[in-house]
Amino acid sequence: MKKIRYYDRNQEMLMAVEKRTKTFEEYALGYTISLAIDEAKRCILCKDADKRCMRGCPINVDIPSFISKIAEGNILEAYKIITNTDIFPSICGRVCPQERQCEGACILHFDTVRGKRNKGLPVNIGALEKFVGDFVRISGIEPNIEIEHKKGYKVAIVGSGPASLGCAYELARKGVDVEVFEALPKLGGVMFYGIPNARLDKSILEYEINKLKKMGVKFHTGIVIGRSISLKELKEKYDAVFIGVGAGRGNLGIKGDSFINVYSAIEFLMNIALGCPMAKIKKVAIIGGGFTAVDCAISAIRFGMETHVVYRRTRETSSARDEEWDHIQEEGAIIHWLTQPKEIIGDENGYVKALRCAKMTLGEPDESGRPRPVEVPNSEVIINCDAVVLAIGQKPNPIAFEELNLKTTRWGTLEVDQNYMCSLDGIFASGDVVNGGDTVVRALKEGKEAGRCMYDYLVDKKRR
Amino acid sequence: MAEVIDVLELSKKLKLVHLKSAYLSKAAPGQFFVMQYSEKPERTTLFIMDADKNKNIATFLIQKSEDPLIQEIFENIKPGQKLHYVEGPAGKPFANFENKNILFVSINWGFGGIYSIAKNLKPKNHVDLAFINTDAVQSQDLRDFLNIFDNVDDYESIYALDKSQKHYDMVICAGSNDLAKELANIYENTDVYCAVITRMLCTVGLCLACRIQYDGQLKLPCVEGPWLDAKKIDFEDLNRRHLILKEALVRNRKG
Repeated sequence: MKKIRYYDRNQEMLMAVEKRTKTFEEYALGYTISLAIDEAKRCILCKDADKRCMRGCPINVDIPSFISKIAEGNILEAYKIITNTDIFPSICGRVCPQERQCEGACILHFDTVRGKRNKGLPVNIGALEKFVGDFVRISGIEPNIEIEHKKGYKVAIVGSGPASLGCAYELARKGVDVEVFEALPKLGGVMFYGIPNARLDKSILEYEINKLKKMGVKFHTGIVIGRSISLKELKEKYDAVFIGVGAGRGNLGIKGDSFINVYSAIEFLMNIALGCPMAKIKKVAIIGGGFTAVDCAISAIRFGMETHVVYRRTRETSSARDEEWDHIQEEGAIIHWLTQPKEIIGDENGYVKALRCAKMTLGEPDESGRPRPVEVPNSEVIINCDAVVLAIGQKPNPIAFEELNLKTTRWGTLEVDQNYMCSLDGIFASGDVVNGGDTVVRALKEGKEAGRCMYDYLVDKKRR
Repeated sequence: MAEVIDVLELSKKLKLVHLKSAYLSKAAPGQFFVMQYSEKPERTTLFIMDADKNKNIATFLIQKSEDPLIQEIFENIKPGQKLHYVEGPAGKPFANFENKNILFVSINWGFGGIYSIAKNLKPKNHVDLAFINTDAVQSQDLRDFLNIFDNVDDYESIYALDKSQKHYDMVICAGSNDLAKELANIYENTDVYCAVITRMLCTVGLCLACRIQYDGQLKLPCVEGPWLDAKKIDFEDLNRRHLILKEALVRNRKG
């Protein structure tokens, strides 16, 4: 009988701290083939994986099947299995919070059927997925993607983030002519502008987008839907339109947010992604506890800034990955848990000079189910800094769809039906612009689902 | 892709550029575009002074500047060049009006912003121009474009404008935030619209880099402007945040 290897999880090699804090190169170096095969052999290939890791995966990758192929050394077959559902294994392997998804439901770690904690460490599914994607990309193997004959339908896609790319993939595969309209100079949405190169090398994104180009998808940059062309014009020119503009609009709303060197997270990250000059910053306070806050911290550290992360809750209740908190702490970030920012303090010339905060304690659960942070009286903390970055929530940018008065929720997200159709016939949406902001993999999944619904709509429309 | 068709030197400090671009040539009055001149990542926003969708041509002004980014474009832009990247048209077009007595006020290359609006409003309104001459741009430099105005008056400074006693229903200005602020004071009982000068990064309403305080609330000139009611703008906040930051960025570029 095969011995279950509960504990000897193979970790990815990381670049040394002193080296990685000086470069935007990726610091998680990935598996060698022997490590990947060894890690794959830890998987016990559960027969009821659909109730475990596969259910934990938002896009339901057939995890045991692809891992068994790695164990056999058949990486190309593993790639085919993953890409049946997840078209971007190299990306999802890097950016998914696996400990709360597939790995959180790995039987070695947690028995989801019995609902109880198990004694071991989960199979490193994320690193294996990344390995498979990277292996195929680096080998120069051209995966064969079957594309159906042209059907004569034309679809316009607004935005080029994960939902849009997922939608484009599904439609292009079905023989639909797809054109993607992106306002900004680079394609990929949050994957380009929101995730620093140190976590997701831009060349990987470029590779994945090139795959779509080879499938016939046309991309246009510099076109601001709602300004350069109206959504109404698009609707008239194309058989259907998909809105995948994400929910990237930054958020402010703290006293003193108009001082010089107060940035929304997206402004801070976009400056870096585009390589635009920034004001000289020595000490930065980043407000927030999610992925975006961690990504801002990763970037700030690499610019040599003394980096403070200020979060009103605890590490356990934050939405960022556990290992990423470890990484930025190793790199020198100073993390202020249970600390609520109250006011940005400026100097006489209008520049930021400090952040005034209060310490918090955890109280009763709030509507999100997490313990509500409660302010500790007389617990003021002053963090000296010359810049503040607000990574505290996001909302959809309405300029693409405001002219058509599409129905929105009170949070400004688009209302869609069960087929991802908006309140106007022929206009579809999914991803963050609908769900308000979640993971790349969820946007990818919903984009693909919307693509399938759009195809059915096009066929049905033709019949009518 | 946008290609430079023609560059006319209007003076030593001002050039008029014709671009071939299917999208930019569809610009509505008052819109602008974003240019990334070379592979360098920096982006600059420029008014679309005129647009001819039948010929696929958009026109803009560029003025010599201390900003190295603008300076590089000013010195090097040549016919036949393909611009690295353009984005737009961006911003909300200026609204249409009828039967109004309108004063346009221009300083420096702000003329590029008001020209398309004046041209559009001229058939159904009375349009005057107050041109504030500076070392960089004189009304003479733009003489070929002044015939759309019913009257053109030259001024030597922003502050000379308060001597004008004429009544207007509306004042529209571009070229300087100080000009807009001054006009909001001079024309107390008249609507004053201005194109705000702020640092724009995304220009699609995501990043909030361009944000200003407007009527006590946050406003994003890149998507809600650039044409805004000057009387609602908190110029103190605008100048503090944007001008100081811009100076710091220019220093960085030079450094």
